[in-house]
Amino acid sequence: MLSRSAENLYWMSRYIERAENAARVLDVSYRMSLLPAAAPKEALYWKPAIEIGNDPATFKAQYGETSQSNVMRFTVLNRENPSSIYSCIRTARENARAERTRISTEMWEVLNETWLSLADLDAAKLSAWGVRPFFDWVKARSHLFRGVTVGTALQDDSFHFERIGTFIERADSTARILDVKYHVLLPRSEDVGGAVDYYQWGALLRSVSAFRAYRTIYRREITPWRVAEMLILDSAFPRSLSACLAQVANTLQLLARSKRLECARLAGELFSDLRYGRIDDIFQRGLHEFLTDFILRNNGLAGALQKDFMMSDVVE
Amino acid sequence: MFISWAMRDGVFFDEMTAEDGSSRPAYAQLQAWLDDTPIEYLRRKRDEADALFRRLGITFFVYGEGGGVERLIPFDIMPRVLSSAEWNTIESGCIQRVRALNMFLYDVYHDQEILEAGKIPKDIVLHNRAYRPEMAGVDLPHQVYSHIAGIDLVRTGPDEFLVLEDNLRTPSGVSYMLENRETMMRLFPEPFAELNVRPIGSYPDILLQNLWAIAPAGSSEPTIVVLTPGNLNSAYFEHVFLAEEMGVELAEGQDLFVDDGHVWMRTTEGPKKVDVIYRRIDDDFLDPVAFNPESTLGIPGLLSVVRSGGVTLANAIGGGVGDDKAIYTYVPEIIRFYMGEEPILSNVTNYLLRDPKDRQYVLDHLEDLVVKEVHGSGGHRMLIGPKSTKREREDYAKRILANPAEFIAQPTLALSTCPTLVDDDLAPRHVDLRPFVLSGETTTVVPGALTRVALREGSLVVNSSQGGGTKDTWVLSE
Amino acid sequence: MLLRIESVTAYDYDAPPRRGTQYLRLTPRSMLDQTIVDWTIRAPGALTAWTDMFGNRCHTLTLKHLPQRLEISVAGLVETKDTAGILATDPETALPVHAYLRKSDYALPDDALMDLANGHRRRIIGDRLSGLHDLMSTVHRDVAYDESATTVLTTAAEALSLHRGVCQDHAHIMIAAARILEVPARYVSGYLWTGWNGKTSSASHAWCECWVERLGWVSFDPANCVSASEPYVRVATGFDYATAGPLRGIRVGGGAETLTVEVRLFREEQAAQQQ
Repeated sequence: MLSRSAENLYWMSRYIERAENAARVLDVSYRMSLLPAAAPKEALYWKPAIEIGNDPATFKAQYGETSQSNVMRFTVLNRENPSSIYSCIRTARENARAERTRISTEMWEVLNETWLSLADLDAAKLSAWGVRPFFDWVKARSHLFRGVTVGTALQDDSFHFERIGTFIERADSTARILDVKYHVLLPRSEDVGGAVDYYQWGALLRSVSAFRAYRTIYRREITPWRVAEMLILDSAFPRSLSACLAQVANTLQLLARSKRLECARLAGELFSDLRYGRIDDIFQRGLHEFLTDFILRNNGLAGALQKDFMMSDVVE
Repeated sequence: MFISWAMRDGVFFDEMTAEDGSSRPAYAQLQAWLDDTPIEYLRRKRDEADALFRRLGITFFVYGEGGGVERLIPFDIMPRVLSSAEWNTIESGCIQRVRALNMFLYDVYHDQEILEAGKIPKDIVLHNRAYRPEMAGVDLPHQVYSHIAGIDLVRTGPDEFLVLEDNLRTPSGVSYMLENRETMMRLFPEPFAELNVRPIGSYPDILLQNLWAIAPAGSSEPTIVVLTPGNLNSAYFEHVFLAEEMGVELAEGQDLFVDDGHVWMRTTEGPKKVDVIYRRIDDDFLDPVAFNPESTLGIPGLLSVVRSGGVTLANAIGGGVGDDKAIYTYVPEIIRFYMGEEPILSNVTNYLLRDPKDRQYVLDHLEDLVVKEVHGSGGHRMLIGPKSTKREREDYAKRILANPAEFIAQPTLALSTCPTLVDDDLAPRHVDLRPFVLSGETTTVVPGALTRVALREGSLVVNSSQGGGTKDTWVLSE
Repeated sequence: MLLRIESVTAYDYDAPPRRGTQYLRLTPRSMLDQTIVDWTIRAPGALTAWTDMFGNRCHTLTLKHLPQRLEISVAGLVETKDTAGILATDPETALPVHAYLRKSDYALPDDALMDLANGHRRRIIGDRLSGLHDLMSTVHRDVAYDESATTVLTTAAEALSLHRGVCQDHAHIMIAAARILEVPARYVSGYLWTGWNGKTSSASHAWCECWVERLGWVSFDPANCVSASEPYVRVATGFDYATAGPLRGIRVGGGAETLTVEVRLFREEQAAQQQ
């Protein structure tokens, strides 16, 4: 297939996944901001929402104060912020439009309808919509799109590139959420075991749809240690780094066919580290260091993928 | 439902309703069906059609202040009907015309017999901006330059179909012809069953077959691509549509590159050789090394591959010299010269403002004429005499005098009308007709066309960028 | 005259460009007044040969990564003949002579060029060949040779207004004036041997050719006020520098560029005897 098509489909999935994750993070921040808190709410709930995103510097330059309404404007509505929910859906839909011949009619219709509902969204319309219902809607559209993709797309190379996009983005997002939240939450040790702590960690789990799963797996109280273990190493949990990389590594094996590609090697290597890793070792090394390193390696893998499939050039 | 309207000023020919109020033969069955159909039903169908088009994303791009916006081209659910006899004239006339124009194009890029014979002034051809010296001496498969042509026709009476314009470069609209039909078959299965409308769905197949036929010698399984300027182009939907219908890649310039005497496509499995490019990019932008160096849409080095026969472009570079508005006047002569036949379809009277006699006549009669730029398209920047103000005419006259050779004029035509669902009722609106002529080993036209309709009352401008819509065109079998 | 030619054309970029495509017009062909005995062209990548609309022998060079200095070198042996500047018709181009009246960017008319042309109108209509010689003399006289006054981008109109220029400007001015008078004219790029005193001599050169009925293309070198003869080696022809120049390309990245051309011509007496 055309390299550009592969790239478009890969980013289409990445952007939908990114929109969903942004909605998840904001939804949790919003929910938590309704609770009583010792520290100023901005620092506790809205600053992390910006730090999880790709571009905190631009936010600072454009908006300054980390207020709820500024964060909403930047991460939901801002047309120039390429990672705002608005931009993500617009880009995903543009990519889909460019690849109408490669995706199923249903996939196109879901994205097109999603975009049409969003195209003229502004702060007033968002508040009329209701912030929580809006986030639920974004998540639901993403679920619908993924379901339609799995249910209607031909399982050819196009499909594989879409899947890879989803899981590389999800792994990146889970790692960022965990890193930032851990950083924000952990120093507040005086609250350990207290009600606020419970809500905080509960909220983190909810933000990645892991609350129920946590209970099923651990049947114990929520501790940072276990949360990290689940989100990093538990391959049964579909948003964990391990589960995402398993998908990426397997799919790349299919795409590489008999060729030895650097991206497939990197994915295999990264997955092995997660598959056989232990949470004790990770904490010993430092969780933040581990996650930073993971994000870099995941990016490196994405770069190799683009080089291996999307930049063929002069006939060698 | 009974249709009647007062359009009996005797100027315009209505294709459905005769002067005595009865319906013309081609429309008899449609009229009978309409008689039994309440208007509310039509309105509901129109809403369904709108929803369908919107959902499928059949849009075009309009440029305005502050960037482009996507629009739906208004679709009118009232079909336009042509009898088989009417169609036979159109079909044979268009085939004759396109064959002659392809022979003309071959000639002007080879021996210039028609110029040597003195049938057309050399300057008009050789100094034309659309004449591409770069194509001199290049031999193309089957000597075809315009593989896809759109011939714009207007009707002024029962048997009067006139050619308004030839489009030999990158004519668009065929996706609307095909999608309009799909939509109509979905909305109105009953009339289709009764009327014996000839099918048009084979268009993509014939196109694909022709593109195969023009592959360079030695490519037994040619790789074909559609080359688009990208999704900001007004006809992007059509590019996607055609690539999808033919099952070929939709490429942009950045997907293709030249190396080792061939064009290659960047794929996830490495470079793949391309044999035929159905390009929807203008000549100027195709190769930044040979033409406009600012172009980022094209493929650097493409001209060298075209000249040495490593790839075939459809349509060929330089075909525009055959549809130039100054050449248009000579098309009847071109048909006589190459085919030894009289033209089946006539031209509209055309005044060339480079000619002093014509110029004086036009300047004296601006109020009655339509004046256009030779190289213009899309109905922009033309003067419609009867609708213009004195000031507009004076300004236009200045532009003409500054550069007379850049303009042509035509009489305002009494374009035929067809019943159209406007607001909530049927009313007559002016229409034109664009059949698509495909050339490869042979030259063919599928029995259908894009009918464009001027939705504003009294308007004669059918261009989609100027408030025009489209209709399905039904050609009846015998 | 047997001439050995060695030339290096080089582009120096600020930084190595990412990808680039070049059309090279650096290969002469045999015509009435010259026979190519031997010719090679070297570039840092594969060259694909083709023939352009003027019959020029062209090559396409596609590079994925360009070096910071792109060097293309040619070497060859050409036997030239004095035909009093007359080249007759050119069977290797399908381009009609009338097409050489087309407007081209380097030779667009302006008032001064119109005046120049009109001053020779009567002579050229009366006797085209001698009228064109007069035009050549006027251009030679009115436009002083000055390497610092113009660049490769200078048009005929600009050079005429400066009354200074190099061979490229002389050629463009004469072409523009000839076309105003309905005389088909084309640009020639090539080499000129000037080593009469036994030294090697180096020069890329440009002149023009005008169409004269019954004779065909006739050469005029307004820079030197002569018709081309044995010391001239014709490499490429075109409407103007844009279509006849030695290199034309497009690249991604690289910043600014500097073009240098080195040419050396040697006269080979011995070999001429053997031919």
